[in-house]
Amino acid sequence: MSNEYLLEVADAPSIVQSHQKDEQIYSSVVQRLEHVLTNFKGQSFVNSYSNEISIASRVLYLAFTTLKGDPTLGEEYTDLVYVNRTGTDLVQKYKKLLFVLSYSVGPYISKKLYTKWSLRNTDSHSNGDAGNSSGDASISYKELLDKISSVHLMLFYFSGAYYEISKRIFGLRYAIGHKLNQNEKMFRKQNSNSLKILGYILLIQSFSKSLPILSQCVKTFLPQQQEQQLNEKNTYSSENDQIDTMALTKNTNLKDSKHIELSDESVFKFIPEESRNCILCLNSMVDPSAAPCGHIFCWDCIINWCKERPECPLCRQTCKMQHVLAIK
Amino acid sequence: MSERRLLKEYQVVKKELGNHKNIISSLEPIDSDDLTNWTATILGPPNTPYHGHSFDLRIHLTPEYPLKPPQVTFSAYKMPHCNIEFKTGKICLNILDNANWSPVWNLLTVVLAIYQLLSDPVTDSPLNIDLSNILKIKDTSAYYGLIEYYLNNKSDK
Repeated sequence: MSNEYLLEVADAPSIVQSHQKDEQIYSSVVQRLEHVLTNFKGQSFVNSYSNEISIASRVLYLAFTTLKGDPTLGEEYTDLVYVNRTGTDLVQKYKKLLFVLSYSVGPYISKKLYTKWSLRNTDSHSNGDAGNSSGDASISYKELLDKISSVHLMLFYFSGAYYEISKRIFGLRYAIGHKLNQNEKMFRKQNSNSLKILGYILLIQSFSKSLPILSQCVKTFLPQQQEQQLNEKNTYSSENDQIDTMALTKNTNLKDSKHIELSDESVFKFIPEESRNCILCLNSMVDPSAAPCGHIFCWDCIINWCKERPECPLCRQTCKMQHVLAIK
Repeated sequence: MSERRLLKEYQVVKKELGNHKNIISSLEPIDSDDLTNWTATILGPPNTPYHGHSFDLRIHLTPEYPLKPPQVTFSAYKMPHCNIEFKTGKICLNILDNANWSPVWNLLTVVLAIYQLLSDPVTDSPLNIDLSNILKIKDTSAYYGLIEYYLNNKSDK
């Protein structure tokens, strides 16, 4: 008897739809907040705190909707209400509060904490090791986040529950706020099936990603094979070394001999006589190099100037060091 | 870069100075072995109270030149002008500022720019407040009169 009065649990497409609608409205909240702050505090404040502003607007938006007990605009649009894990009761207020906080501020705080932690790590280690270890750690942190979110998304596409990780943690499920007739039920089911395909694709993707790692594990368990691998690697790397040294000697040779000097009239005949001097050193150009605006100087001259100020000395267009092109 | 460029500039200045005879009467290093300290003499532009007088400039070039601007000053107590500090001869000219300097300018263009400044005082960046205030209320005759007074009595200082 009680089952009859239970609300139908929401399907994945309507949750995605409500989330999209919410994001749309959230972005307009961010814009308005930024506008207000620009008027009060100035553009530079908004620019330097854009991250914090977007978090604040998310907190504001959720506080006035979810926390207050009203549906967000997206939820209203698709007629969704929060229920607990089993779908038998509404969600307690403290859980909603925890969700709002973790959803909006959580990623920010965890990132801050992580950077602090890795900083302290680099401080305590000696310099050489520190760079390596922190580099590894940051990659693994990012990878871990990626893994977790992709697994979470996969679960969502299959089961149709908990689109956000913090909702999964605190058990905020969606239910449809009205009774469904037969037609609507059929329609919704079809839609969720197409989302399941997405889930399969994600599964395949993550599987193919983990294949190399799996094969590595297999190799470590088979010591013989590993030895062979090592031998192969050694021969390969020694070959590589040879090539490297060859490349190096080649490079040094280049450095010794090949300066392009415009004092030699046979070089770059297309540059007319009156343009062969560098306006910075006033001598004939050595290694002519073009700024993005097309003005040509010696390589050394323009690079030295770009260190001073990244703009073309002639026309003051921006000219970053990395955009200077050596003419060859 | 600095030394080679200065040698080149020295040659260019020697060659081109003739073209600016009625503006710059001299521009040369104080000691021909040391190209980092120069002296120049410019003539007062016509139709200004400076006309008929000549003014000495000291130019010091740091090792960073031409990446950093040259340091140019008038002689102290010799130059009444709203952008020049009377006590020190310090010049306020935007192209001599670190932020506005460009290495394509050279000693000749800098001296020409200072010559130009004499006939076009800029009241927005004064180093001589009194003169600039007079100029701001557009009392040109008082401005010119005051300058003439300074110039004609400068032998007293």
